[in-house]
Formats: sequence, C-alpha cells, structure tokens
Amino acid sequence: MVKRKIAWEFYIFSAVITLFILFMGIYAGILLSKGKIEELKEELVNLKLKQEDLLFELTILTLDKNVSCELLGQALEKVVEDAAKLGERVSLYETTEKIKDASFYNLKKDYTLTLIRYWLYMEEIKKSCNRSDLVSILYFYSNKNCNSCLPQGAILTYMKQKYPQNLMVFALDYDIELNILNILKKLYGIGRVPSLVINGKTYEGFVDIEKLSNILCSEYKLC
Amino acid sequence: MQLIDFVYLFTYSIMIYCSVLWFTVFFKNRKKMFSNPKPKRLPSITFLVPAYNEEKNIGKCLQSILNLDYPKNKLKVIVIDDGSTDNTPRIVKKFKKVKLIRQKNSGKAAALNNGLKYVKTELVACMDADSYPEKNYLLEMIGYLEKKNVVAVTPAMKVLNTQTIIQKIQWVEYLWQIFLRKIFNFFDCQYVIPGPGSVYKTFVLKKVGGFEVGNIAEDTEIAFRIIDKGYRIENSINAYVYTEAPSNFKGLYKQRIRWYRGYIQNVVKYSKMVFNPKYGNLGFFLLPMNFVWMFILSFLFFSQIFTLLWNFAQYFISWYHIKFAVILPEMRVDIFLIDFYTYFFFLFLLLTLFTLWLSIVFSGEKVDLKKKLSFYLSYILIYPFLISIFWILSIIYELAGVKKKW
Repeated sequence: MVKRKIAWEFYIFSAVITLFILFMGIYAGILLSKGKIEELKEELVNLKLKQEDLLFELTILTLDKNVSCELLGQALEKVVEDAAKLGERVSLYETTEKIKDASFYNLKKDYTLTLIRYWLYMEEIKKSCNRSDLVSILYFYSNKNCNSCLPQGAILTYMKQKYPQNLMVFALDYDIELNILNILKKLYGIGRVPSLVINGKTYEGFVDIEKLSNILCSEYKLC
Repeated sequence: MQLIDFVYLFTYSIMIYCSVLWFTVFFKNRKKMFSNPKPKRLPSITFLVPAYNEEKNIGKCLQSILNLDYPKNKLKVIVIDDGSTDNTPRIVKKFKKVKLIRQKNSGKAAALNNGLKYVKTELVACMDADSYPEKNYLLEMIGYLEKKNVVAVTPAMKVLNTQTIIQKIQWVEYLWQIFLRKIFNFFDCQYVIPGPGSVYKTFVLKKVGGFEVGNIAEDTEIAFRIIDKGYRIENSINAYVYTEAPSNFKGLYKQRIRWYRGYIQNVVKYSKMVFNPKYGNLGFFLLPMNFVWMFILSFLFFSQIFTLLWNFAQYFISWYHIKFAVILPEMRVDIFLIDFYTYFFFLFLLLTLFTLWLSIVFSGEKVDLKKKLSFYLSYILIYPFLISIFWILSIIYELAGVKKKW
C-alpha cells in the first residue's frame, strides 16, 4: 500500500500565481478604461474649441452675411461629422466597457451639451444663410429597453452616408439627466424611444427606411 | 461589470489555475521528463492481443511485437480472437511463435481475461491489434516495475496515419496527452491505463481479478481499481506505440462517447475517491476538477455559440432594415475595441501555443511549420469545439440513461 500525499505547496503556489495573473488582467482593464476616458476627454476639448470658433464666426455673420455663409456651412459640416465620430466612440465605451470610469457620466453629459449646442448653431445658420437644403435630425435613443434603436441607428447611418452634405444627425441619449434635454423632450412632445425630430417636426416611434426616404424626399427634396 | 462578466472571470481563473498548476509540476520535474529507470534485469513477458476483425492490422502488429529489442526466449505473444468473421485467425496462424485462442464474441475485457489465464510470465502487456510499438519500447518501460508498489506502466501513444483532418487533430492531441500524462504521473494522478501497450505485473492483475467485463472503459476501470488497492502506476514518455486513429467524425464520435461515458461511469463507480484525501492528488484535486471542467467546457461552448448567434442576429436585423444595402464598415484598430477580455484572450493564446510547443518537444517531435502547420491550426481551431461537443453529449447521454451500444 502506498501512502498518497496531497501536494499542498503546489496548490498554494498556483493559487498565488493565479491571483497575480487575474489582478494583472483587471488592473490592465482599469488602466485601459482610464486611457479611453482620457482620449474621449481630449477629443471633447477639441470639439469644444471648434465650437467656440464657430460661435465667433456666427457673431461675425450678423455683420456681413455674404462673406461668411459659405465658409460657415463648410465648417459646420466638418464639425458635425467630428461630433458624430466622437459620439460613436462614446456609445462604444458605454455599451462595451466592462470597468466604467466614474467620470464617464459627466463626460457624456458634457458631450450631449456640446451636441445640442451644435444643433442650435445649425438652426441659426439655416435661418441666417437661407440654407433650406440642410436637414437636421434629432435622434432620441436609449441603451436600455429599446429594441428598435439598433435598426433605427443603422437606418440613420445609411441615410447619412447617402446625403453626407445635407443631412446632420444628432443622436441624444433619452435617459441622460439634463434640464435642456427635458425641455427639448417637452418642446417636441417626445415620450418614448426611438423618436426623430426632423427639422423641428416630431416623429415618435420607429421610422422605417421607406418612410424616412419619403419624408426626406417630399419635404426636403433629398432624393 | 455584469454578472456574466464575473462568471467569465471565475471560469478564467479556474482555467489559469489549472494551467499554472500543471506548469509548476512540469517545471519542478523538468529534468526527470526523459529519465526512465534502466532495468536491472529483463523479466519474461507475455503480450495479450485481443482482436476482433483486425485482418488489416494484426499482421503488422504481431510483426512489430516480435521485432522488439528483447530476448526472444522471454517474449511470448497470445492473440485472443474475439469471434472475428474475417481473416484474422488465418493471418495469426502464420506466426509460428504466436499462440492463438479463440472465443465467442464477448468483448475486449473478456478476451483479455481469457488470455490472462494462459499467462505464466512475470509481466503482461496489453496491445491493441491496431497498434505498433517501437523497437526499444519495452526497455524504456520495464525499469519502473522494479520500483516498490509500481504495478503498471503506461507508454506514449502516437497517431500513425494522418490523412484526414480528424486524424491530424488527433495527432496533435496525442502529443499533448503524452505530455499531460507524464505531468499527471509526476503528480500521482494518472487515471487511465490505455489499451495499446501498457505493461502490468501479472500477479497483481490476476490478484485484482483482471479486467471488468461489461465496463465500456475497462482501461479506466482497471486504473481506478489498481489505485484503490494502493498500488502505483508509472508512465514512460518515450516508449512510443503507434496506433490507428479514427479517420472520420463518426468514428471519432463513437470512440469519444465511449471513452467519456466510460470515464463518467467509472467515476460514479469509484465516487468514494472524489474529495477523499486518502487517494492523494487524484481524489483531492483531479477528479473534482474534471467535474468542474465539464461545466467549464459546457459553459464556454454554449456562451460562445449564444454570443455568436446574438451578434449575428443583431447585425442581420440592422442590415434587413436598410434593405441589405451595401455600406462599407469602417475598419480601424481602435483602443476602444480592447478591454480586459483582450488580455485574457492573448493570455490563453499564449498558454495554448506554449503547451503545444512543450507537447511537441517532449514527445520527441520537431516543430515543423512547413509540413505540420495545418495540424497545429486545425488542432487549435477545431479541437476545443469537438471535444466540448463530445463531453456535453456524453454527459447528456449519461444523465438521460441512453442505452449504450458498441
């Protein structure tokens, strides 16, 4: 009969190493999350700088219309695109990041405010420069309990790719706690997601691609 | 983090723990991997070759046994013909030195027990008729049997034919098993004495009552019984036996369901060993851990399939809503696409490659990216998937009590 032993030292040693590897992974995850937040913050700062720039241009616009309208249109187009790109990364962070940084929610509020400001500037430019060809869409979405938000987003992305110069999409998270957002919701009578506000006109609920194409074509001549 | 992330982390920690443990055992014993004890004397030995319709392989098998580096007067061969309906007996009769016993078809265990009755030598080896030992194989093994309490030695099995992809996968799997079995051996928790080429002390095999007739994995059962009786099993990492492996999915499926169901049945039979420190690392760690691994395999398998289907469905729904219009996705390497799952992905990739490399080196092969790349790749990509399916099915069959037919 052999006396079988239990190799405690192996079990304990392996447990220590495993814990080390595990914590390394989680620590790397935390660092990575922080790095992503830093990058988002930096991009947001850039976006805000451009916004300030645009604000000055708008002020000058009131002095001399002919000079600035063209330039302004181009500048706006560029920054709205940048804003949308940042928005993609913000929502990517929100939906996939496992270890969320505490500062993320403030960052998202800040981003939403910036986006709403752009939307206001755009409305302003549309009026001052007689740009009836520009169409703005406020898109209210939610990351919680919204099954048709995914296809709605895909439809909007597709339409944006089709009319890159005329269509400006502003995606706003319905659940964010911001006064201005509540005011917008009340102003346009929005009670659920997904909802679209196309040039000030409200379309509650999912808008499929045919309906959206019809609206854009018949009312705003985007065909 | 959501609940599912914690489940994943927990699963990963167990996987890492097992890997670290086996690497530690390996590292501690790395210098002893190849050093088999030299036999002081060469005892007489009988090979038992059970055969059922093996006309294709039996001749080659007997030839390789008779060609072994061993004194001819100390080496005997008995073929037990298990009611073959083909030319097997006629081929065996051509070998003058081989004794042939015939019986009604009654299974491998019964055949081995039948043959065991005629064994008068000190040692007995079992050899499947589709397996072929290398010339020096016995000399690399029998030294272990001179050690106290050691009653059985297992060889290192390799896959002979590698035509189909299923065989290529098994070729790599067997190398990995060679490495792993040696590690288990160092950790005193080897729990299978494989059919092709294992050597026993005759008196012990007779004393414990031979093989269990009706057990679908008699090679696992005999190992459990020998351990239960307080004996030791050793392993030689460079006593090679080449064996025919199933060439298609159906053959592999049948074989693996038999192995894994056999394993489960025998663990149930010897459930007193589970968590029992009397049985050392086998009872205390490996048997419970194998149970945990069944859950891990099932969980990973189903969660991966679910994730894949879920992502595909989401993508498809979006695509449907834009009338399947072609939009070019923006491909970019983005820091936002990596998180701690990426860390674990690369960790496991590294562990897999490292294990593969060790398995190749310690089973006497060479890393050959020119000729063997398809072997390695199909092993890494397909094997985990296959093995999960077989384990899950075996568990389901066992739980549902599906009748076994072999």
